[in-house]
Amino acid sequence: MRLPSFIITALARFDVNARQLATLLGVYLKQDLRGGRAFMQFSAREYVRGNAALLMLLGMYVFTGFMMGGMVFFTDIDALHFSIVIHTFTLLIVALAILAESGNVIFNENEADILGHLPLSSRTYFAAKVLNLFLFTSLLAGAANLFPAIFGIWAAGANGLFLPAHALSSLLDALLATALIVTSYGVLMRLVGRERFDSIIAYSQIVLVLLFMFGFQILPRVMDVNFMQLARGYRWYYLLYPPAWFAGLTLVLMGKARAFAAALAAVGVAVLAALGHLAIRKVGSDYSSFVVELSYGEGAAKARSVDTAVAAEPRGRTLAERLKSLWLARPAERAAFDLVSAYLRRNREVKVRLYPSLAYFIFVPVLAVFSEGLHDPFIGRRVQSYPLMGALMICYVALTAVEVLRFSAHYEAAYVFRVAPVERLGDLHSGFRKAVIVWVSLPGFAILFTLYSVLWRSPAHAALLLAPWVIITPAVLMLGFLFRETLPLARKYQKGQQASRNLLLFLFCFVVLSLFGGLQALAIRGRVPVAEIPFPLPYWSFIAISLLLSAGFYFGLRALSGEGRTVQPATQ
Amino acid sequence: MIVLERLTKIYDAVTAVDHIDLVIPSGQLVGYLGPNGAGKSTTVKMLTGMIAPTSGRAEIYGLDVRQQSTEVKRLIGYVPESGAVYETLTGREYLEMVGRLYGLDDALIRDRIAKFADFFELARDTVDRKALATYSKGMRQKVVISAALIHNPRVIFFDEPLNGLDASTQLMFKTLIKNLAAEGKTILYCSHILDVVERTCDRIVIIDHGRVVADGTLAELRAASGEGSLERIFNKLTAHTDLEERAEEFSKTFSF
Repeated sequence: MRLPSFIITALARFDVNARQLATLLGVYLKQDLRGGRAFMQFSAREYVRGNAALLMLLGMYVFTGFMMGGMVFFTDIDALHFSIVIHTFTLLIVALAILAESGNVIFNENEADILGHLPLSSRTYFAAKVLNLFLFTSLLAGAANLFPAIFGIWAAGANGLFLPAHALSSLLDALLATALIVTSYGVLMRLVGRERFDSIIAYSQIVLVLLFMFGFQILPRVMDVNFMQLARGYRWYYLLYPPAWFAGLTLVLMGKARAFAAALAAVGVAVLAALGHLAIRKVGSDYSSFVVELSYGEGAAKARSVDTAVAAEPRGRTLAERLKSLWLARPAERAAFDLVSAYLRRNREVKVRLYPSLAYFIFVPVLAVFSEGLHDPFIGRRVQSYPLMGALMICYVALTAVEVLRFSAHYEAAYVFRVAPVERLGDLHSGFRKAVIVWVSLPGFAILFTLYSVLWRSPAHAALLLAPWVIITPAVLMLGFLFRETLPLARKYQKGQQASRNLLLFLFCFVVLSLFGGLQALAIRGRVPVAEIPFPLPYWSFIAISLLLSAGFYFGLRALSGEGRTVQPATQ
Repeated sequence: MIVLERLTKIYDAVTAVDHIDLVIPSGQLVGYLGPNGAGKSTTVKMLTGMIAPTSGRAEIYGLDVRQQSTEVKRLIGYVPESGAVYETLTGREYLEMVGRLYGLDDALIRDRIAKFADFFELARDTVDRKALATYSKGMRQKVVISAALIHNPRVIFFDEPLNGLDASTQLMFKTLIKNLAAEGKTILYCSHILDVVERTCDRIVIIDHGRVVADGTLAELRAASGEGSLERIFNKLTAHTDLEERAEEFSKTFSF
């Protein structure tokens, strides 16, 4: 397909070669959409046609959009606020998906070998990357807004034009999230050197996730807290709220806008234009050289050198080594533990994919501190959800870590697990799990323990609250290893896998672990609310039962999953 | 000893390895050659337990590769063509990991790492402190070769082991594998570099389209084909006899 000449000319003004852009973008899309490994493996067949992870992610968003859009039939909501709610949801999911996937797209240093020597301008390369991300986010936004765009026609004050208007403004949602994140990375690239970039980029992702998640908290304020009594009219702070900008644009395109809605739309368009200008003029021009620097520069070599603290780790029979040998008795277990530990601490790709999920763990207690407060549940037996959700989030983050660590750009090196005489798959799994517990779960629990101990002035109560969650962690982690071979860093990463798996894990944690948290709350209270009948399980017996059940589930699931078998050959 | 009995691998409609029968006695250094896509790497991956055969069987020192895979893996070492390593690890960490996967004692692992580093002239600081991502291709290949030998295997599979190695290291490596074979180790050496195979291997097996098309010493292959060099034998057996003419014709299309 030949592009119109005016587009070719327009792109050339920005030093973007249209034909190269189309070629590169076509390649990226083929890679994203083509078959690879399905992230669910319950049968011997490992490969499915098409990107199953992406399809599943889209399916989940369509379903969620259907549920959210359905509110129009059960509440008295006007077009503006319906649009604000849906845009908020869209922006959140799109932003979180980009943050989960962006590391592999934007900073793929393996491409330097393939593209680095080609006559490709930096802006063309950058444009292909950004468009690739934007098409991905548009797909997500489209899936999430499929039903809301239709249902919104029935919102108060809407008309048939709501569908195309909302569809367009949803695309702009995706564009804003893409532009914001890409520009943030670009600015970071310019401000910090290559050596510090690796560590900063991972932490900056946490900040971005928190920004979006706290932004999402504005929504109840927009809705005037009570969901069934929805806001009407405009508020001045809508001018600071991106979903409101695009809701204003929806109204303008419907022909239903007043001056304030037009102002909202104008702000949205202006911000997009500004971000676009920043991205093209400032970020795009240096992009190629930065990617090459990422791969080959002096800073790259220094960044990849193991820091002296790691290199100075004691060798031989120190106390730490002896304890490690006791806890990791089998050599294969120790090998897997050391490999996963090294990647968790040093590998940028792992950090960039894992750290955004750390934001969930940070988000809950911080939100609690600044909103309702975190009260000691053992005093007055007043149990709030936030302390328990903090612990739940650690389990979620640990499960996410297992998923992240299954994939790596160095996946080809996993041949060593199939060639070596590993007697029990369970040894590799066990080392993998223990590394996640040591480097993800325990630090998380330690942080929460410190926070709760300080706030409640009672380390004993903090320990009592967190103990059941620490106890169930090994059993919860088994979810990542259930009925399948989960070798560390053994699979090639594919677009959509991170985001879709994160969503599934979040749903599991929310449903199943919430039940556990609910039982804990009842055990603390000692009574069942509403019915006001005594809860038959004293708290100490709740902990004891958690221990027994957790052990039972852990060993039972290990046996059921066949961890006693050897590592199987690949079927292809 | 390695025994292959009608070993076959079929991917969808493609037969990568087609009923191969081979017996390789202990202490033999066998060159395993073939054009791209002939099935060399697939054969090796089946013998190392990385992929399962579609049919047929293979034994290594009397142990069935499928039924007794763990016991077989204890006996073998493998250098893959990709030379892939976990780049975030240092050389030492990678070799320690491999050593542990082979069940070696930590002290033995440390001793052997020191010996390999010395043999391959890898600086201690490099091995201990620098991530494999910073190594040159040749240095990485030295680590991969070390990883294949660290547990003193009886059978070693090399797939393009000289990738990235400088000339002096190549010479050292060729001498090494000859000595290993002389000590009784069985070596299957896959390579496209025919003159290396010609000068180091006791026996040469050529496969094409998944089938063995030649098997014997260099002298036997010369006598059977009537050609002098292994290169000509290879091209004749794999139906590539007009390469020079085709190359000449093709280069003319680029003359200015």
